[in-house]
Amino acid sequence: MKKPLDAAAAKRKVLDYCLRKGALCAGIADLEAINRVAPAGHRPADLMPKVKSVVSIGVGGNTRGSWGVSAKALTYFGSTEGRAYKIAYGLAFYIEHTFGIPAVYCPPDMDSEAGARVPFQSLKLHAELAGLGARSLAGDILLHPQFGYMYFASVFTELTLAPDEPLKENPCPAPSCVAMYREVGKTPCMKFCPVQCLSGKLDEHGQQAEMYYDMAACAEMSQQFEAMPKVLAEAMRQNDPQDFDDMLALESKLLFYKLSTGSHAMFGQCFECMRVCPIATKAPLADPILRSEAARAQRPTGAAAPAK
Amino acid sequence: MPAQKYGVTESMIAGYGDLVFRLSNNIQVRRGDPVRLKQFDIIDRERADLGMSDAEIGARLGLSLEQARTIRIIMEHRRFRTGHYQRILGLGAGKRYREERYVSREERFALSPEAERLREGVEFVPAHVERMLEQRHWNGDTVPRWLARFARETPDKPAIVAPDATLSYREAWRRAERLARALTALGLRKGDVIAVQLPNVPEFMLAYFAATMMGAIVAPMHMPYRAREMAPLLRHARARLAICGPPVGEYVPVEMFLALRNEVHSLAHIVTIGGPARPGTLSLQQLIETGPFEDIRNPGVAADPAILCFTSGTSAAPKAVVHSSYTMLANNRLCGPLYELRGNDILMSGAPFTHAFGICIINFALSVGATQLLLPAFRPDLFAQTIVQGRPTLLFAAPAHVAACLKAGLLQEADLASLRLATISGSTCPPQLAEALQQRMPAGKVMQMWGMTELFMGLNTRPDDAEGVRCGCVGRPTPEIEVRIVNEAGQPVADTDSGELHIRGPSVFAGYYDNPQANGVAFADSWFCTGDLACRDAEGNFQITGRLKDLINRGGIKINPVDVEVLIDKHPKVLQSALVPMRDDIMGEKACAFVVSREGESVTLEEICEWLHNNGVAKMKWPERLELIGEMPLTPTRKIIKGLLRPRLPA
Repeated sequence: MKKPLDAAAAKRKVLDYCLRKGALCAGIADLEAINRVAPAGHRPADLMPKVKSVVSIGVGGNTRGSWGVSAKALTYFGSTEGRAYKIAYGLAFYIEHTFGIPAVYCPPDMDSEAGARVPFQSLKLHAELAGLGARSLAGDILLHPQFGYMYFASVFTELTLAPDEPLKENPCPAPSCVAMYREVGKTPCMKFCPVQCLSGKLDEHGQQAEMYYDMAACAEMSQQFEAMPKVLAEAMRQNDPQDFDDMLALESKLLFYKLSTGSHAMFGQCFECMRVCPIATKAPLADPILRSEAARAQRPTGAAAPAK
Repeated sequence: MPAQKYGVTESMIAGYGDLVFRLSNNIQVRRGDPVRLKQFDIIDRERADLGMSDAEIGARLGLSLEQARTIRIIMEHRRFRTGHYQRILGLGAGKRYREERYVSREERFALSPEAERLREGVEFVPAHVERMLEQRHWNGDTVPRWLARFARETPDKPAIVAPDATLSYREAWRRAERLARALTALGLRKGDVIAVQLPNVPEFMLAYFAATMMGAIVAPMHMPYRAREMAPLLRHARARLAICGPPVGEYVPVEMFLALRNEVHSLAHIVTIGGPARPGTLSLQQLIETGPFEDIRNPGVAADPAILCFTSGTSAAPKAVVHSSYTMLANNRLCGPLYELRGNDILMSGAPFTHAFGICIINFALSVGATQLLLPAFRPDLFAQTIVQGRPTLLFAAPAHVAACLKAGLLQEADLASLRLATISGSTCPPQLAEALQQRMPAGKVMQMWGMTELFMGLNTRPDDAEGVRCGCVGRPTPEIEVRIVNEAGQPVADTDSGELHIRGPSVFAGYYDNPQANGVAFADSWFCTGDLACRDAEGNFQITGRLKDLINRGGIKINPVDVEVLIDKHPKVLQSALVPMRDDIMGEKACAFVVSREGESVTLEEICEWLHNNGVAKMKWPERLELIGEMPLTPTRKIIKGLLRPRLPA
């Protein structure tokens, strides 16, 4: 006779697997909440009709030192999300192998036909609801008080797992950012954005009142792909062969092409908002030394438990 | 874009476009923190601001999914900006982007039409460029790079020693950089020309350093030049800024430059030294100390034009030589070993910095981190005094400098023991003059050098040459410089025969700026036709025997005036002479001697002819007219300006 499944033990096993494989944290997102927020066509059931749970996995971003490299080099640094996808891919097999229940690795890509940079499934939404981070003033990039800036991956499964709660507090803005905002009307991410795509307001308590993000302006600098066809189309419209060459100007646009088409993984970003973010760069467990086994053994598994 | 097939018209795009764009994820506005707090009612209410999918936009606006998508994509294409990545290209490690300081690459690297035109002055045939770079005769060295190196390595060492000031390498760098930033703030950019009319003072060097830092081009103007000479040169150079000194006698440079602004429209700024700035001008000292401050966005590099020197030409078509750091500094690197140049040397230039010879000496000192000892302006007593007090190890002077000092008896008693080498250049040096100096330098050696603005140091004797060689000729080519001597037909001549000296190599300029007529006759294949006449002895040592254009064609027989002048100069009643051609209906040209006689003496044509006869000179070479004059017209490097003598002859 098949032994009944212990949901709590199953959750512990799933999350332990993620941490063992290198995740900084992992948690279960509230499926009902996802369905309330995500637009039709981009809900977990649109990918996996009998989905019961969404596991969100966070992996580390840059080391503290790497935040100090030149801006150009940083665009080549940030792409550690591949590690998150690898863990998710393994987790899907692990769930099926361990529990005999279907699981699916969630594709991280954009659904280009659905809208302006609308993803198939919002990994950010899953992570936020699973308590792996909260929306920042830096274009809603999720930040975690202990792990700082992370990359996320998700696994859907028909295994029922108890959802975690979102973070109780939003770490953004950090006290130093509030102080700067009071002085100059901008937080560091707003002030130092190369395309000035960020702005916003803080309330009297220093909490986020409004976040404004000009994603179109950010697009060339971030993970978007429209730029390439745009430039090609502009080049094709040139009548003068020299103008055509100038438009494509390989010698001066390599970085642009790299940013526009993505790095070896999926995305390229300028990361300038993150490198001036005290949470991203100075979060206690963003330090790789503190991510050691000993440090991790101190904290319970589950969604970002210390902050809850 | 097949918009029509989805039922999207241009007027729909005009009507819906901005709204669709704003409703999409392209613009996102979030109030509060509704997702984290699971405030679903707020999310539903503000979904449009948070960003919507095309399907949501279509449903909200009453458009089909395809229509919403088509409008969105068209709007994205129309609004998409593709130059943003450039904003991070210049951000070095640890630097943060600052909107207020950002200058686009187009703006940063833009050259004015004048600057672009000036670059033509340093454009060589590609094969030459490739060869020079491959052979490393040209490299990335620039004046500021050398200055920065020694400001870093030997910061406290004197770079400039003037009668009233000593500047260390650190201080020279600091002041020059500050000046460069101030000039940048004035709006000067790479490729702009800065005219400098200053004596050999620290401010000249600082201006030169600053200009090369910011990629501007120094156009030195000789001190004797006044408005009449200056205006065509400033116009030709399209000078944007002029730096001048305090009044000299009745000459008030700043007044002249202010007046020149009416005829030289490019001249935007006038900077003065020595005292407060007059209305409409700026003080160099103030610019260094308290001037505006701006980043040097497009600093000079070795391939950029660095200096623009005028040689001769006419008012309508001046002959301007433009050197990049490639050609200019290659010469210093190649000549340094010849002079055994060392960092502990002290160099003194009798030549003014307004001449390429003087600038060459600035660079020479800088190339090894040596010290430049300044003689603001030549005067025999100051010249001797500066040597005695400043104790230079290397002296560069023109024959006239040495002659004047010897004549005044100033070198006889002076302590010249510090001199390791004394190089005479600028014009033909009589051997006895070099020998006289050599006798006063028991611890050092006299050398001779021949050079031109177009190529800097071209021929040099060597320290280990016999005294007869060092005093009697201009030596052998600078390493990597190729020379040939050709006859009128352009064919190489036998070694001992005189012909025109042709030269080519790493330091030879590309051509006269904006003067195709001069360039048409200045080059033969890849050779620069110097216009100087020379011959070569069996050991390969060169003698400069005259100027091609100074030859006197007497009935088809070419008389080289130098052969005759050397002898006339030895006449006991003669101080200096110059032979120039005068028109003759029968012979075409005959020789006329212009003579400055020694004090209290007077000489006749007959006495000169008898002197030449006694010295074995053929009668056809004798002058057939004598003009006694009180003073020879001289260039700033003490060369006789024969062009000013010819008009004095009867038509």
